Amino acid sequence: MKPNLWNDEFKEFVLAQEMHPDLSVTGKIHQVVRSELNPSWQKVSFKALMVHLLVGASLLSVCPQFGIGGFHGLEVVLMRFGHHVCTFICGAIFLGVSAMVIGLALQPEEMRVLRTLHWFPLLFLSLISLGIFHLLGANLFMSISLVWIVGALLGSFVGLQSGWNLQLRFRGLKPNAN
Amino acid sequence: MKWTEISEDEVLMHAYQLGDFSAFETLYKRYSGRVLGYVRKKVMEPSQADDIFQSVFLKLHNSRQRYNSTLPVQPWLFTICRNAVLDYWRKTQRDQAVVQSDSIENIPAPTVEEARSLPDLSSLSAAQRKAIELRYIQDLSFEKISKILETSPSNTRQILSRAIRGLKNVMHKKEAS
Repeated sequence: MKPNLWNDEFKEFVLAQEMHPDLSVTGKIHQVVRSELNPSWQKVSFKALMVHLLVGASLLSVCPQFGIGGFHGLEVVLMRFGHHVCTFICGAIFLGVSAMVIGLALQPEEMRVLRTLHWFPLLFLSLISLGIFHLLGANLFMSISLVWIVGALLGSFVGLQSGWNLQLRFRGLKPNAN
Repeated sequence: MKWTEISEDEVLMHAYQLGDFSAFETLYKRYSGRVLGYVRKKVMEPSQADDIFQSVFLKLHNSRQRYNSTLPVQPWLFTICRNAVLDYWRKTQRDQAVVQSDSIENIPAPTVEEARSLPDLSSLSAAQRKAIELRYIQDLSFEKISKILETSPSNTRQILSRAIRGLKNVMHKKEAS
């Protein structure tokens, strides 16, 4: 399109006589936008869970304990600091990576909803993960499980924030608009 | 006074990209009148204009994440608006073309005398000949013809339309000679 034509039409747009849209049309537009900008917490939690299951399954496939292995060296290094430290880092890595992908995958409005739920989604994902580990044959003891959950919560908090910051950078947005 | 009311368009757009509905509301208040005024000027039919107006804001919503917040909002909104109007005109033209090709259905079958004066069909392709025969001799519907010719009904219409045009050309040449 020729720039002059575009400019002329733009001027026409700027100088157009303002007209009041029909209230029903305005209502319809607002309804669509409002509902999309305010997704339900169930929908957001479900999406986060799906991402976690996908990423978690990928991580388990290379986990020295459950999968094909590949990180035996890492396990040996971590076990030098003791069983608890190893478990803490295991939780942090497992949930941290998942949360980072969640931070990248969720839409800004979905992230806003997730944030209103505070620690609950992260705790929920940690407990779901432990439940799956149990089903896969892991022996869960109270103290070691608690250490794993604390590691998972901290790791996921950092992961979620990192993923979100990366997404903002990719989109060219700043964290706070107002 | 809400913060959105005193904010610049670009700040509002940025907040809207982050999921703030009140930012969208303010942008809507600022521009809906102008968008509708422009659309009504381009499309006289009020109900069509309202549909286009609605589609402009829904397109704005769906493409909000593609907006570059370092650039002004108004030209971007205008581009969406202009494209919506152009899409409408393109669609209208397409629909008119379909209506015109549909009018083939209204062409009556030729009488015996007319058929005698028709030119030799050998100037047409095999598919065109078959289509003419099925339509005007066997009086089949476009759907049935398309099944026989193993093509779509719209393509069948095109084949017939070309065949008729071809026949007309042959007849004109015949008359001229």
